[in-house]
Parts: sequence; C-alpha cells; structure tokens
Amino acid sequence: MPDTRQEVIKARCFLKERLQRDYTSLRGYEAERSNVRQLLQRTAEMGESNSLLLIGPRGAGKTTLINAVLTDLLENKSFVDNTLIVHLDGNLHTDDRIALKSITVQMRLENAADGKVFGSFAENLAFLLQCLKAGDKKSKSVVFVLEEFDLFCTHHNQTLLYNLFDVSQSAQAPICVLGVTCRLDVIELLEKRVKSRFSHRQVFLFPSAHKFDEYSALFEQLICIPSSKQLQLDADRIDSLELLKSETFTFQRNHFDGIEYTFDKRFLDNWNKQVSKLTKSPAVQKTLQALYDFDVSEAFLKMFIFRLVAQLKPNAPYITAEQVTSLASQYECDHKVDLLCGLSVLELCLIIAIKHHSTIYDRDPFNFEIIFGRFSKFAKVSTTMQGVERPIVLKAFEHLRVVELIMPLSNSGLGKVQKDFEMHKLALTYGQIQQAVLRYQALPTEVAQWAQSSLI
Amino acid sequence: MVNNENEICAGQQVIWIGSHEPNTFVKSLQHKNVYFYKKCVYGPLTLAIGDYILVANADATEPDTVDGCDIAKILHLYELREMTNKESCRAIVQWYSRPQAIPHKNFDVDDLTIDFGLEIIEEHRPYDNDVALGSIFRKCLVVEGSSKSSAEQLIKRSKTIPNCPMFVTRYKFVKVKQSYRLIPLEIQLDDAKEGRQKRSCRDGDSTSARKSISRRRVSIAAGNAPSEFVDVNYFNSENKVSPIKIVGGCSVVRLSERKKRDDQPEINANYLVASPLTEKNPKVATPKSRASAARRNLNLSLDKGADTTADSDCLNYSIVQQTPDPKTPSNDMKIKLRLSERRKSARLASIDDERDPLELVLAANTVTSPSKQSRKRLGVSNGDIYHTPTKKSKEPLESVGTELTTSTRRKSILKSATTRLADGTPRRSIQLSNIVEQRIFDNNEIISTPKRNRSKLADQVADADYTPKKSSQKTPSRPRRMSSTGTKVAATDAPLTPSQKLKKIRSGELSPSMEQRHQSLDVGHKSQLQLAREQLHVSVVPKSLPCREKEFDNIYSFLEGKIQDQCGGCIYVSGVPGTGKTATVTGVIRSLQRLVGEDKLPAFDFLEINGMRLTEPRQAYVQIYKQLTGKTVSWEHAHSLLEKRFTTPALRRVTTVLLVDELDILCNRRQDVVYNLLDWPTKSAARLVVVTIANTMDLPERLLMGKVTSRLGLTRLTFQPYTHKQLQEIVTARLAGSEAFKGEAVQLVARKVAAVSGDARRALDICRRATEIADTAGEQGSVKCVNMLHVQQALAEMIASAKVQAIKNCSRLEQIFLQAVAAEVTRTGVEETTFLGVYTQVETIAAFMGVSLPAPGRALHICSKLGAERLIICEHSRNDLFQKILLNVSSDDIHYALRVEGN
Repeated sequence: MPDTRQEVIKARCFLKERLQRDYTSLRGYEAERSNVRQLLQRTAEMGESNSLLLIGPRGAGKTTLINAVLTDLLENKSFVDNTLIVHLDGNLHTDDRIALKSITVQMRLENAADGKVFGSFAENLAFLLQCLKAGDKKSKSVVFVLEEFDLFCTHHNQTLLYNLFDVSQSAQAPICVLGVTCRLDVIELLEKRVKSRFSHRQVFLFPSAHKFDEYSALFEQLICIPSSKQLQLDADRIDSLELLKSETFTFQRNHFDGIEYTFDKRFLDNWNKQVSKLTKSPAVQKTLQALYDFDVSEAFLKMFIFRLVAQLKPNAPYITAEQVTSLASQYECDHKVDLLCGLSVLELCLIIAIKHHSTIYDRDPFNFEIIFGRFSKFAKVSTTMQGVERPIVLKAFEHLRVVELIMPLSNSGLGKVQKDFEMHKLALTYGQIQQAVLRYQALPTEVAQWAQSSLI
Repeated sequence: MVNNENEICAGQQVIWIGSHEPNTFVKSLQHKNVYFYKKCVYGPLTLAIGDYILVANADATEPDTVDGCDIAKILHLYELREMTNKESCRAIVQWYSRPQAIPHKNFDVDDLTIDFGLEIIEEHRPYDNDVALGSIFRKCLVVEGSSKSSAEQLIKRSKTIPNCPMFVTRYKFVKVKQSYRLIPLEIQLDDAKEGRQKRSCRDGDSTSARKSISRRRVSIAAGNAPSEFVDVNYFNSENKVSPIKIVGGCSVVRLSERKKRDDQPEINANYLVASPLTEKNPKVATPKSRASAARRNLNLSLDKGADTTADSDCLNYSIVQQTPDPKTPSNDMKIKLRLSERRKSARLASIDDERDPLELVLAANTVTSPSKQSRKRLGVSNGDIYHTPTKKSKEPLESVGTELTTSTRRKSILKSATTRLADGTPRRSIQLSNIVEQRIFDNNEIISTPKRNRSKLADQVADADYTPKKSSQKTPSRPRRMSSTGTKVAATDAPLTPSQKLKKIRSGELSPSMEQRHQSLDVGHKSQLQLAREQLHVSVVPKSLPCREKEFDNIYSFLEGKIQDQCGGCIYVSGVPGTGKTATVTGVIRSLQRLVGEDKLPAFDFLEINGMRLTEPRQAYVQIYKQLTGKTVSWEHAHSLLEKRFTTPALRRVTTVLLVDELDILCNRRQDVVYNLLDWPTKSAARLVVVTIANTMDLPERLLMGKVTSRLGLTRLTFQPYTHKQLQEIVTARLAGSEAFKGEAVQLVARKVAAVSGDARRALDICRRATEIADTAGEQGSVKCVNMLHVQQALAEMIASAKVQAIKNCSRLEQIFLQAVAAEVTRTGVEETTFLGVYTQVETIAAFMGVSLPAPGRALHICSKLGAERLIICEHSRNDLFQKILLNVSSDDIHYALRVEGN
C-alpha cells in the first residue's frame, strides 16, 4: 500500500521534528510559569525593575519555560512594542567584553552599527550605563535573559552582574534580569555587593519524581499524532513568535510548525490506538519505570523516543514493545564490558592479570613489568599463551592504555619514565571484568578459570 | 602723559601707560601697596579700564579657545608693589558668565529668551575678581543692551567685527532679597545694592564670621563695579570709546580721536627702545637673525615710503627717526607686498573699529583656526608684518619666552611677545602694527562683508532658534559645560558613520539614550497592594532616610564645612552592603544642592564614580574627567589633565565633591589610582572633597598602603547593619499611610533579615514579594492585605534553601547515589570520597532496595548530573572511576528528604 508507506514516512518526519524543534510547549510548572509571566508583564507594562533566577536541573525545561512565557507575552501588542529582549549565554559570552558588545547590539544603542560595536571595552560599558541611566519610566523595558548564569559569576569582579542588578534596583530604565542556571548554590557565587543588589527571587523548576503516571502519559502524548484541529491551535499559539525580532533568539525562526502536515484520518486513528495499546503493555511500562528511575526529565524521555521513532520503516509501520525494551537495554548496557568483549584474548589476559594484582594489593598502581611478570607465570602453564613475546605483550598493554581501560597515574610523567615502568591504574570495576569474561565468546577455558582464581 | 618710571618692575611684558592714580580706592586692596593705572600694554594686548577681556579658565576643556575662557571687564588695573609670589600686575574685573553657568531655574522664572550662543550675563555672585594679567587670553567685544531688544537685534545693529568674539549682555545676575535673579541691565540696582548691604550686615551678625568677612569683601568689590564702571567711562571718554558707542556711534569722530591717541604710545614706544630692559637682551646684539634683519628692512621701507602709495601712506607714522639700522633695502619690495596683502585682507574683513586693531589680527588668527598649530601661526602673524621668522631664528627666542613666564599655557602669546622683545623693540613693534591697522582702516572706504562672515552670523541666528531648555535636554550630564556646537550637532539628523559617532560619543556630543516606549505606562487606578509594592521598590528614594540621621548629620556637617571653608578633605564611609551608605551620601548631596539653590552655600560640583562600574581602576580618571567636561579621553591623558587641574590654582573654581563608591575595587597592585584620588584633596588649589565608600571597616589598614592610608586620614564613619527595629521602621516609613501590611508581618520580615544580614534591600525585596503573593492568593472582592502567611511564603522562597526540595525531586537512582555518598562518608569518616567507594555503596543500597544496579557508566552519568546541580561536588569526569566526590549538602538533609518521602 503506497498510501500507508507515505503516511508512515510522514508520521516519522512529523514526530522527529516535533521532538526536536518544539521549543515552546511546556508541560506542568503552572505556578512557576505564571510567576515568571507576571514578573515580565509588570516589567513591560508598569516599568518595574526586577531580577529573578530560574534554577533547576538539566533538562527540567528552564529555557522552555522562558520561551513559553515569551510566546504568551508576545501575543500582547504592547509587550512587543515596549520591550527589548537581550539574550546572553554564559557559554558564548565568556567575559564581560563580549557580553557588553552583544548587549549593545541587541539593545540597538547608538554605538552599534550593522551588528558591530565600536569603541573600547571601557567606553562600551560607560555608554551602556549612561544609556540605562538616561532611561526612565518612559523608555522601553529591557529583559535580559542570562543563560548559564553561573558562568557569568566567574567574570572579573562580576562587573556586568553588579551593574545589571544595580540598574534593576535604582530608578533608571526598567529592566528585568532573568538568570537561568542549574546550579542550586548559585547565590553563593555572587559577590556580597552583587548579592545584596539581587532581589533574591528564585524560581525552582524540579521535574516531579513521584508521578510515574504522568510520565507514561507523556510518553504516549509524545508519540501520538494530534488531530488537525489540535495542530491548528498549536500553530496559532506560536504565531506571535514572528514578532520576536531578535538576532540572538533563534528558536522562533525554525520552530516546529505542525500545520504543514495533514494525515489520513484512518491512519491517524490506527496510529493513536496502537500507541495507547503500546503504552499500556506491561513490558513498556516496566521499561519506562526503569527510565524514570534513572532520569525524570522530559528531555531524556524525548531523546529516548527520538531513537524509537527513527526506527519506523514502511515495512515496520508501528512501534512495538520489543523495540522499546531492546532500546532500553541498549541504554542500560555497560559500554566498558562491550569494549572488553572486543579485546583480543591476550589483552583480556592482561586485564585479568591486572585484576589479580589489584585485588592483592588493593588497587595499588602497577606498571608493565609487574603485570608482565604475573602474565608470564600464567603463560608458562597456559597452552594458548605460550610463546608470546614481550614486545607483543607490551603492544597489547599500550593498546589497553589507548582505549583507556587503564590510565596512567599522572599526565606529567609521560616523557620522564620508560614506558615499561610507568605506573597505571585500572579504570574498571571487578564486576565489569567478571561480566566480560562471562560474555566473551570462545574464551579458552584456562583463561576463564584463571579469571576466577589467581592460583595457577 | 608718557610714563615709564615703573616699567622695569612691571614684569617683562607689562608697560603701564599713564601715571598711577592715587585716588582710586578698592576695598579689597586697601591694605596693600598698590598703584592703579588706567592703561597698560601687556604683550600684544593693550588693556585699558573698561575693556572686555577673555580670561583663561584653567578648568575648561580647552583653555586656549574662546569657549574655554571666561569673559570679564576690566575695572581696575593695578600693580602690586609688594614682595609676594603672586604676579604683580593684576586687574580687578567684573565677571560675565555664560548662560550655562547660571542655574537653570533662573531661566524658568520669567519669559526670558537667552541666546546661549551669544549672550553673557553680568555676574554678581562672589567670585574672586582679582585676576593676574598673565591669565588674560585676549580681548573681546561685548555689546550691552537692554532686555527689550533681542540679542540678535543687538548684534545686527552693531557692526560685527569678523573673527573677534562678540557677546551681548542684557542681564545681570544679582542678589535681590536673598536670592540671585536675572535682572535686565537697564534696571538700576538701588534695591539690589540695598539688599546686598543688608545681607552683609546680616552676615556680620551670623556666627560663621570667617566666611562672611571674606565673602562680603568680595561682594562689595563686585558690587561697586557698576557705578565705578560708569565713572571710568566718563573719565576716559576723551580718548576712549565705550563698547556701546563703538557699536552705535559714528566712526569719524573716533578716528580723529584715535589719531591723537595713537601718537602718545608711539613716542612712548620709541622711547623704550633705549630702555635698559631691551638693551639687556642679548638677542638685540645678534643682527644675524633674519627676523631682526627683516624688521630693519621694514623700518627702512617705512622710512623710505613716501605718501604716494596707500601702503606707505598707512605707514606714515613710522617710528623711523629712531630706527638705527642703515641696512640696504633689498627686501623692501617684498615687505611692501606683504603689507598690501595684509591690507587687502583687512579690507575684506571689513574692520569696523577697534581701539587696538592689532588684537583684531590676533583675533582673526585665533578664531579661524584655534588649534595649536594656528597659535604658532599667531606668533608669526604678529611678526610677519616686519619679519618672517624661520625655525632657526625662532627657537632661541622661544627659550627666552619660557624664561620669562612660568605659565606654559600662555606660551603662544608670550612667544609672540618675546619674539618681538628679542627683536629689540617690542613696544615699538606693537605700535607699528597698531599704526598699520589704523591706517588700513582709514583707507577702508569699501566695507564689504565677506561671505564667510555672513554664514557665521547665520549660524549664530540658527543657534538662537533653539531655546535654552531644549538644548539643556540634549546635554548628557552637565549642561553648563556644553558648548554651543553641541546643539548644532544634535540638530542635524544626518546618519553618521561609526567613526563619526564614536567621535561624537567621545566628545560628549552624542547623548546616550534608550529607545522610547510606543505607548506610555498606564497610570490608572492602582490597588493598595500595587501602591505598596511601588513604594517598597529599592529604587524609590525616600524623602528622608530613617535610622541614619546621625550618619547623615555627620556627613552633612563634614561636607558643608569643607564647602564653606573651600578646602579639601577626605572621609571614609564603611558598612556592609545594604546599610544605606550611598543613599545617605547622595541624600546629603541633594540637600546641599538645595542649599546652593537657595544661595545659602557656595556652589559646588558633584562627581560620582563607582569602582564596580569601571572596567579597570584607571578608568576612574576617564570617568572623572568626563563628568567634569563631558569628553572622553584616554586614561593617561585624563590623568595628566586632572593632575593639572587639581594642582594648579584657578580663578572662579568651585569646590568639587567626589564620591568614590566601592573603593576596594579601585585598588590595583600599585594603588596609584587610590593614591591620586586621595592625594589631590591635600592640594590647596584643588578644592576637592573626596567621600570614599567601601564595605570593610578596616580596608585602609588591610588593603591600602601606608602612604594611601595616611592620606585617607582619620575621618571615618561606619554604618552598622540595621537592627530589626530599624528595619521595621524603614519598611513602615515607606508604607506610610498604606494599610497593605499587617504590623506583625513587617516585624517578621525585619527580624528574619536582621538575624541574617541587616540588609535593608533584602527586607524591602521580601516585603515586595509578599505583596505579590498576597495579590495572587487573595480572593476576589476581599480587601487584600499582607499577613504572616504571605510573608512566610515569601521568606521560604527567598531565604530557605531549595536543596531538600531538589533531593526530593531527584530520580530514584540519583537519590540512591546521594545516599551512597552519605554512607561512604560515614563509613570512611572522611569528607572526600572517590567514585569507586561510592559505587560499592550504590551496589549494596540498590540490592537492598530492589532496584536494578546501574552500570558504572550510568552511575557516572548520575554523578555528573548531581555535580552540575551542585548537590555534590565532583572532579572532572576525565578521572573516570577515580574522581573525588564531596557532598555539598549535609547528610542530614539527605536523610530528612528521603525519610519524608518514605512516609
């Protein structure tokens, strides 16, 4: 059925795009959302200066919350007209000099032209401060969004933060400073003067860890394909984003727009029925529980689903429970064990020798000579390992080091010590070695026995 | 009339003309041995009583331009016959101020229209009116007019002299009934005088005797000015023309007078050729200098010149009989040519009339190109009537010039003066040029206004279109420093290139601004909570600062005393953040400025720098200089300019109050910035009061070097953190008249904050947050009021740590990992654990709780995630299994969070 083929490919495309580029739909956090929204609204409409920190673990939806709030507010004409939005990222604006230039450009101050800022750092700072000072309730409100706020705290003297907070606490141009960070102790990073000027408004975003039902519902929701009516509503919601004329905000430019997709009604029903059935299956529930135990954030789940959706093919048009479980087991498997299983027998023998050494000497560091001695003892009695020469063993040892199963004790001693004698440590737990020995295919029995006991 | 008895002691450049007048009486000089004169020749300038002069203002951005000078009228010329280190040749002047220097409120009271470009205002505020002749920059022209006609009309009516700065004065700034006002000149100031006398009596009564005496003296001296000025004019009317007469009068009479008058100094000058002063000069003896040769040539030509040509006609008065050099007249044609050129240009320039035409030449040169280069030319142009100095011949002369004077700024004019001096007959040369110009004027039948001149006039008219208010809005920070060019620039809307813009920003002409709102804020009906929230914002400046009265008085009396005594000083203010240091100091400044507005205190400048607003300590100089002049220069330049300003004395300088906030940031390793900032107040000329603010009480001892600490002095003031009672008072003072807060709610906030930091900002922020919570929580219809619950919620949000909450909301494995870390810490008894140890704990706990054991790789993932949240502190993940892990929350928190969850 060429028709279904098309539909499946379309569905895959749709789901992938929605998972990746839906920057503004925030689920939950109603109280926090209204809090931030009211704050921004007051800044825009009443000219009140504020500062706020948005704190939450990675993947909790901090940036999405801001995007969602902005999307809400942008529907309001007066907000668009009266507000400038300045977006800074601690990873991009690594010092105040760069940050200032970016602010100047985004605020469209007079000393910027065509995205370039002229004048020295000191001049830029003085000019920006004068501009803000010259502003009053009549001038536009400025919303500063500082992503990775904790990185701004490392700037010299915290000059930028001091000045932003100072402006927000004095009768100058109305500004709102929104800091976004995942560090819970970010306030302690602020210098005492800066701290005093910060208003201590903190909004915490914590994804809930006790609502597995919601989690599985979310799983279903993320795979479901909504009806065209719902798509239309979503499209309307993000219409206002076009008004956001910011150079630095990029999310609105390639935001996901579901309106481009239309699905066959029958396919849609089928698909959604299938998905709800899938979600209810105990295997999937169990897998989801395992995922939920590991990471509660929505971002993590989205990544998982993305891989699921990517497996959709015309001849495998539905997601099956087996796919879900196998993917989850991929997540749970130990990569180091996989790596061990791919080693040669000689290398595994070395690992076993290292393990014996470590158990005896309580993870003391070792060098090649020690390990070679232990290996030689085994090689004497072993049929497979007999006649392996020292250079070959050394090569195998070096390979272990390259794949970082063993790590040199210090980086500095590299050139000074002869490599036979350089001390290393083992970056594996004994359990991992055990697993590898069990899983290793066609491992000589004597090696497996040796792995069990150091006695030869 | 010829008098030369005292020219030796009169400094190198000053020649007094006329005998001294024993009858003149000036109160401030009563007890000094002074000789008064009516006229003198000072370098290239001929100064007489009643002349208008430009006096260089050392504090101005460019003291060597017209804009950088103050305008004054000479009331007396005198010579101090005492051994002092002051310059002995001095003048008593009547100051005129540019309108920028008059407080703006004075323009608002009446329907005055002041032309900011043209007008000046007769100044009766008590400025020091004793000026050394050395600081006189040049002469200028002032038209006195009545307030009925506008400044442009007056200027139009009077014939303009190109390239001579012209001003109109229509108002005076006089104290009437205890406050200064702008009064039209034509109104006689009997009442004003009365007022002044009354005031001086009152001053005598007042307790601050020292201040009153000094001030009264000055004010009387200034007050005498108008009447005396009339007298002077009257006495001099025979050979002098008052500026007004120049403007309106007919020229013929004046010319005849002029001729008569010119005879005298000429003889005088001739006489001087033989004076010991000039003979002493070794340069006279070196005839090899081309300059002197040229001069001789000129003299010869003059000598020879018959009445046939116009040129020779104009040189009819030559000094000739005296000229001793019988050199061959080889160059004579050339010189004649130059002279005629000069004449032509003079004609073009349509010189109307001046008593000292030479100065017109000077003016022409300075105005057309007021750069340093042209100032060099100025010297040449003085000289080129009779010689063309090459560099070689000039250099030794210059060295003479520097010998003669201590002031380097005035070098240019002195240079020209000494060039002539070196020639042997400086006075005569002045006379010579006088004559030249004079004759030119005589022959100048066609008076044509050159185009350039007209356009300039048009510019001025265009300038006048902007009302002073408008221009004051355009200025960035300090309106009185603004030059008229600023308005012109602001008016042009042409798009600028970046470099042009940068230039404008640097020169302070482009005022920084924010984009304006499209619609203004809605100021509709506000609920009580909203009003309370507005009042509670930290930015709202309260009328008075509660609980800081003592500190306020302390700083107030310190600053007031320093400003009244006109001396410098330092004060160090310390206190933890949020205790109102900066607010108190700015409050003091505001009330002092109010006093200044009421004329109860001498005016002062207020500058403010903040260490945290600078990119590096040395930018402090740039900021200070920018606030003084509105111009941005490099820090090296700013430093040297400030150094100059604060170390050289200047007339009319007012006290500067400098607030240095966050002093500790200004400390670099060398501490040169702090040193300078604290060193300048010790200079007597600086009149600088520095208020330094920092957080730590013992900063001077801990951080600053000994030499800096000693300059900081012992005037210290510490702001204690607010107690809970004070915080309560502060909040209730802001909420005055509002029912939005319950009393116990405020008290809770105050006590909570006082227990932690005593930071007023914190208390206000918490209260503000509480109003928001109350706003959203309260049901519709009920009277919203902040109660304990709301405050508690706000406190929980703002003070309480979220770590417990964070732990509760971790995923199950993350919680297990945290438990494992805690268990490992208790097992080893060491705070620092390694991942390996923790992982074994995780194994046990996971087995115990029946959760599938995560692989080490996933455990590391959890570890890094918790590390990013800073629930634990872990090393770089490069160390893999061996990374060290530190618990960042107390293990009690972990147990608590997980136990509660279990229940």
